[in-house]
Amino acid sequence: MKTIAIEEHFITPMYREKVSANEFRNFYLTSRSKQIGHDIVEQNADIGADRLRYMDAAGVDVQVLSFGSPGPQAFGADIAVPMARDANDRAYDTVRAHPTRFAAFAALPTADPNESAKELDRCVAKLGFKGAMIHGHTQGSFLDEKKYWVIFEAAQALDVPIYLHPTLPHPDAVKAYFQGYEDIARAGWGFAVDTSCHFLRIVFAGVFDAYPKLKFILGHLGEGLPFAMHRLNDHTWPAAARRGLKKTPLQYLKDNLLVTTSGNWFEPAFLCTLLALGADNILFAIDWPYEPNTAGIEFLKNISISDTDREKIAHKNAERILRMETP
Amino acid sequence: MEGKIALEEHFAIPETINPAHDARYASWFPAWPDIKRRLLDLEQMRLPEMDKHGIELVILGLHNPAVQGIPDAKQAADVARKANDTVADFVAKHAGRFAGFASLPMQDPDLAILELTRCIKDLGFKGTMVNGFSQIGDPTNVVYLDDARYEPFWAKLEELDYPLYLHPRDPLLSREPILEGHPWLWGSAWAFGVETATHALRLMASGLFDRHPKLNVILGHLGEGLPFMIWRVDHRIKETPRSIPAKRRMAEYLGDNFYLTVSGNFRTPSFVDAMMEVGSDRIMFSVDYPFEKTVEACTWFDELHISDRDKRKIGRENAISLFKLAKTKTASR
Repeated sequence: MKTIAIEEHFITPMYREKVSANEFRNFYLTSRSKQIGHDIVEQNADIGADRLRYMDAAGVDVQVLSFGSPGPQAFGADIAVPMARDANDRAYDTVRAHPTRFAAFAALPTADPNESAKELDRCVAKLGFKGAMIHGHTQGSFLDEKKYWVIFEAAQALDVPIYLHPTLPHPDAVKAYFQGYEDIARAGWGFAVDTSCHFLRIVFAGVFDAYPKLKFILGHLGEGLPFAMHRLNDHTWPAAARRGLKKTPLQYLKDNLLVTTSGNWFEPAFLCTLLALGADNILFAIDWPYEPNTAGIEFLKNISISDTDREKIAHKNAERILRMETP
Repeated sequence: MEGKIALEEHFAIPETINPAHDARYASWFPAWPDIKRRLLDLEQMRLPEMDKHGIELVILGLHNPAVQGIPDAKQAADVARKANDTVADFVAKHAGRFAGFASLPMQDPDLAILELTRCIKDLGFKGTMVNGFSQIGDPTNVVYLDDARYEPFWAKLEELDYPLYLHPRDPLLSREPILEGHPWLWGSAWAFGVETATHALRLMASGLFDRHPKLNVILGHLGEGLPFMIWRVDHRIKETPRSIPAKRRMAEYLGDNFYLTVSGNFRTPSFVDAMMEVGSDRIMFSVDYPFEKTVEACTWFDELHISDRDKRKIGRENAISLFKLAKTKTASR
């Protein structure tokens, strides 16, 4: 069974120079590396032989590369623009060197929305990228702000999805909810809160009325949204109508949301997602190097579904949605 | 959901309701007089009920065992032909709302092939519904569809590229002492499922789908229990293969050569199991009219908590693609 994993990160020298360390981040990276058996920072920085070796050992055929979180979203345009461009050029070099093993999502310097739209266009139209990955808020500002919609315009025109990847929640939220509990603000919990809220802001802002064909991808089986979508809708559809939305909140989740399996190796959550969204809307992802490739492949192989659905999730949905060439 | 397609929907002609079955059903079903009336009706009661509950198209098939229970091959062929002509005339008057499954005299494979070909090529039927084993010559002579005599029939069906709906019938009591003295075990409550699931396993194990990989067999009632048991079947066969001719695991045939309908099994946990074992591409809506109530089937299905995309596939789109309905009025909606 061919496998295409689509939330697979890498970092660059510029990332390592600019993204600041802190005690909680350091503890997380150190302890998590020990837990999963490889050095996260070291493997994040490798987009060559070592990465392929880990992919081969687990049976990952293709990675769709994306720049590491928080990426350019943590910076103003002065840093974000060259950082994103450099990351995209490096991803392109890797894709070109191993065209059957890698594809890429564009990193975007969202501090400059117009430049982001241009970079997305360059990456997709010139470099053959499959979409973009944005790591949450841009220094505290969310994508529902109108100034960012030029990015959505470009994505819809290019017919590529935007992968909304987690980041640390907004600084005010971190202060209010996680001060003294910084460890749970990260991948264990805070990331999902950040990303699900962010996506709902995009829904309620009317982005999908303006760009009805635009697809967003959320990782980690949808950051909790498949579990919550009935209650979310039931208690907000009149408010959504009052805001002037054309459809119910639930309908946007059904029409504009795709999810991946990244780092959520839990069959009850998967079953909920399968029923709520359907196998055609679930794509395989691992979340390398924060997850071992073997965990993702074992989950995919062993999950109790039909082989038809397994093939869809493993590669066919990615080939269809990301328009990846099938050999 | 509007536009549903239902395909385990029964009818009768006077010749198929023999006195023995009539008496037996009357003793089982308090509602038998009404069911019998509905079986024999094509024109009056079906369309209003379909309209009321969002069923756009029904594929009609005879009730069980009908033709499969007529041991004399020539008589079986006559009754089959009459039933098929009745359906063809009716469908011609209601294009886009009804289609037909051929009833076939499986007592004589050559006659069955002729009638199948006539029904599909000349009458526009969408496949065949066969009610389990056939009694041939002697009423106690029971022949299942994995029998070698059916090889040319299956080859023809694969060539015509239409499915066979394997519908239940009761086993003969002489062969099933476990049912003796327990009449409640007969029929759709229990015996149907065991009989039909076993028949389906015989087809799989015979290597039929290795020889004819494009064949599609439809099972009703969410797969007659097979999705629930199929892992264990393969699990145990692996330990004790016992000379099965089939090349692949049974679960692979279930996934690649079978479609399931939800007919008469309106139960979400069972449905979820079927979804996980075979996936939404191979499940289709059905009622099992008039043995089941249209309102119950449709209310359950319409309210079932699955994604819109899967509901459209199961309610309608899988049938459009399997029965090649795209060229008919039905798909123009």
